[in-house]
Amino acid sequence: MNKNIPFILLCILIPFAHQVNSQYDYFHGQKNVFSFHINANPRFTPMLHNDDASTYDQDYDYDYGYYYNNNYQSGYGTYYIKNNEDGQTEVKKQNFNIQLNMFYGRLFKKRVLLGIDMNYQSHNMTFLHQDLAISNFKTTPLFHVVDAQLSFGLFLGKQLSPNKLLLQIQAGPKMYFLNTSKEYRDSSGEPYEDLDKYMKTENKPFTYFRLNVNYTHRILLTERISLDLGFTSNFGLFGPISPYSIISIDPGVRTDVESVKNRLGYETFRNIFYLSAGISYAF
Amino acid sequence: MKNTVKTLSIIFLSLISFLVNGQEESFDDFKTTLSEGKPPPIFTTAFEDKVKARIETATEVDEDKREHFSNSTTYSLNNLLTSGFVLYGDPMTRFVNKVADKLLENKPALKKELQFYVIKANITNALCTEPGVIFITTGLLSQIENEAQLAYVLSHEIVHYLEKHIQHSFNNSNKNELNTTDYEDMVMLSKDHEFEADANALELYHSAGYSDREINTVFDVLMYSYLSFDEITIDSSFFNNEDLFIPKSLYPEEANPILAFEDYDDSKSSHPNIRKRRDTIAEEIEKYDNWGDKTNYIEREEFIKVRDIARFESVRENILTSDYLKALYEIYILEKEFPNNEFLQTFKALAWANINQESISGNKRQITRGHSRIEGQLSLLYGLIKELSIKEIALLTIRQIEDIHQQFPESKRILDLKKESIRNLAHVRGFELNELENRSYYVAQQLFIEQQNDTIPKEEKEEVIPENESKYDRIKRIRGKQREEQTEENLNDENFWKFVLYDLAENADFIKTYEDEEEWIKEEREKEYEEEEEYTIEGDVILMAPNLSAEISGEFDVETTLLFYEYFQSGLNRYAPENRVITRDISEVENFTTEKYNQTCILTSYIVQAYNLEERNFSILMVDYEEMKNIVNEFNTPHLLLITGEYYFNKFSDKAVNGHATYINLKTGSHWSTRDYHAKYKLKKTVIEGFAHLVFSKIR
Repeated sequence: MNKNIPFILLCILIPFAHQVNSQYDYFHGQKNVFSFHINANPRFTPMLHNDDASTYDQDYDYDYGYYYNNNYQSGYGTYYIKNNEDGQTEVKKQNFNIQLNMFYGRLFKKRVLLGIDMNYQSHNMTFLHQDLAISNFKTTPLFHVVDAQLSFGLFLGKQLSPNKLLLQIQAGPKMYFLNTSKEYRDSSGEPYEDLDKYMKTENKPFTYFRLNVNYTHRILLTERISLDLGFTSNFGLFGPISPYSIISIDPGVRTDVESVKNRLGYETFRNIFYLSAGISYAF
Repeated sequence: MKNTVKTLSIIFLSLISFLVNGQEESFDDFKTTLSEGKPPPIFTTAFEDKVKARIETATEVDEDKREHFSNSTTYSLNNLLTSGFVLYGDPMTRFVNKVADKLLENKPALKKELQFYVIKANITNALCTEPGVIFITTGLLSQIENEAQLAYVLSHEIVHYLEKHIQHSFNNSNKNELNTTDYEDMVMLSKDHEFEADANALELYHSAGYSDREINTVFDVLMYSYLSFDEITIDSSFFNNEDLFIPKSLYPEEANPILAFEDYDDSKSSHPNIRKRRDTIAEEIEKYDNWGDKTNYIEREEFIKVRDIARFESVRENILTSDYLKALYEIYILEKEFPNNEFLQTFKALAWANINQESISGNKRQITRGHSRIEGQLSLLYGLIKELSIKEIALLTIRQIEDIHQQFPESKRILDLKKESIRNLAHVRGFELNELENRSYYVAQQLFIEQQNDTIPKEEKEEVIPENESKYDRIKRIRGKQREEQTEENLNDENFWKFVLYDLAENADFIKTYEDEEEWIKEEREKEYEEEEEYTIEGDVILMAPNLSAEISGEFDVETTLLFYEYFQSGLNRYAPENRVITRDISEVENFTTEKYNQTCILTSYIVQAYNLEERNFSILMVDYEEMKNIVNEFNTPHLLLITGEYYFNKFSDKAVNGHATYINLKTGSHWSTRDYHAKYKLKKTVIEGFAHLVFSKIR
């Protein structure tokens, strides 16, 4: 995906912002919306694992030579491994995903809001709860996640835009850049000096194409500033995923490219629902 | 120099008064009544000052409710005063004041407190409002028979004021709320108050020396007030054209009976029924001795003149409110007294033209709606129009207007109406111009009889077609041929419409106007759908007072409404382009002049007329034609801006500000509305200013 796309889009949209004709069908003539949101994804999925595994089906994994229990998957996507102060790796539990969001949009045709949406998130790749059974871990990779999306929005109801209910469909690349400033350790606790050994493609982002739907309720605070409450979601994620990589297996141990990419895609799609709050400025 | 100016101004002033008197003496050039002279203080006092004055006088209302009471009553009174229908300084109001002066001769203090105005409205009513402002409707003036009857009605209303009935009603009402903008609802006094007013009115009335016999007649006036101001038989003179044949079968066999019933169930009415009032008052009358026998103190001629003005106003009012058949009937009544009156004839043409347009637009049913409930001779007209087809109405309309045009060939307005009706005819489906006969039904009938008697066969001649025959000559030639072929079938009653335009069927102007319109319709149909262009307003805009109201929990709320107005005014100051908006807001007390007031009244009438019209494809045929033209010329703009807004708030369900603005082009009658403003917010300044932004966006 071309990194210049957001820039190109900005270049196209900004001249529209200076167009003054026929801007009067809008609330106080406001045709541009700029907003800053914080999206939080609480872990609604249960984090407990089922200890009573004996009565359940056990599958033997021939690659790794041990049994695992399918029911452990209920605690999926909530644990990651971090280096502690003593230089040891340690399992951490993640309660929220936080995403920072910036949006600029321009109104057309009375209620259509076209714009670009940028998200940033710092994301720890997670691993399976049942993998806690494994004694030695590598530090799980930390990613800068950047989304740049084209947004098509509609203000709903009879209100004069931009007011109250906004429904948006957005699509664009979602890119995961490995945070190279962080220290990663192997299963014996030794830091990787050459990150290439930790993850071969550390300089290339993992790229997906993300589709999401946002719903925002704009509550007027002053003439130009509104409090926005709503939600955003991941409705679809598209990208090449290796059919041979078993995504549920020991990401705490393996950091090969395909495994990580599959894993990132899988957990992003699992985090389908974000609550969103922020402020927007219309002009 | 100074003297010359003085002399000139005296001549000028006397000329004006001569002109004014001239109009009063004769109804030939009657124009709708407008206010005259210096505006009374009630029109030029600020709302807040009126409220303050009310608080002081509302002594009967609980102290903590006084402010709310004063706000409500002042707001409602203001609504009435700014309705555009109240008159001051005109002959009718002057007459009412003279009668009031007679009644209050010995009560100078009371006289100072009271004010009397006339409202142009066809309901038969009188109203007493809180600060002692009493209104008499033109409907009442058109119905009463003499000055004494008016005196009794006035006495009745004065008692409402004296006894502070509105304040008592406010105290007695369950919720102590006056949740309405309508003064009629607000003065829903209890029946006890009505009996009290009926009885106590006798004191004033008696002391003035009026006759007790007239009191009973007042109740007759009230009882029959739903009928027109007179009841005369509709006969063949209705169409006023001897050559016009209309089959008897089209008229109902007889008029619906007049059923007025005086002992009706009054449980849901503000006033007791007439029977009860008659019985009660009869006892009260006997308590007084020495009844006078005066029916008038002021000259009878003046009363008659005032009543006639009210009756002419009634005709106008009926057209304004789309009650065209009643207008025609009242014109028919007045014609007997005022034959060849241009105003009446013009309004007759106007009523027919309107009926025609409604009928072609598919709204005929609306005109004859409620036929079975119409009582008296008027029901014959309802029956007739109901029976007529769209085509027949269109042809009869042209017939009537053509006759009126012949009577007043100089009148451009009548000529315009005639042309408009001919153009309208082209919109009638299933009508062909060549179906029309060029002779009246009676002539055709005579011809047919002669044909029957004439047994000698005619020699067949070879037809000679002249060279360079024009289109109209050709039509005439074909018609000439048709003349020879008059058949009995053609003379059936149901074909009467063919003979209606006997004199126009071959008229070149008539045919050209019709065909041009036909051509235009064809072109319009063939035109491909084009997207509407962006609408922008060039030039100035006449802004009428916005009509805003606020409801809290389903009930009208004065205080919030006032806030709504305040916020909108702030939006107006912010977004209305100063030099391009001409405000015609009667509630603006600063710079109030009678001229501005009258212009607003005329514009309001136009809006009322437009509002009452059914959906139709034709432009509005204005009631106040000359006056509107003057306004458009004076302001040099045809754009009129109307604004309405409402706010509702319900704690448990919803809240929203809704607004709507329409720009009307007074020249073409077309109108354009902004987007509906809908904001689901509480009443906030910025939300209301947003509405103002939308309203004025098109004139920037």
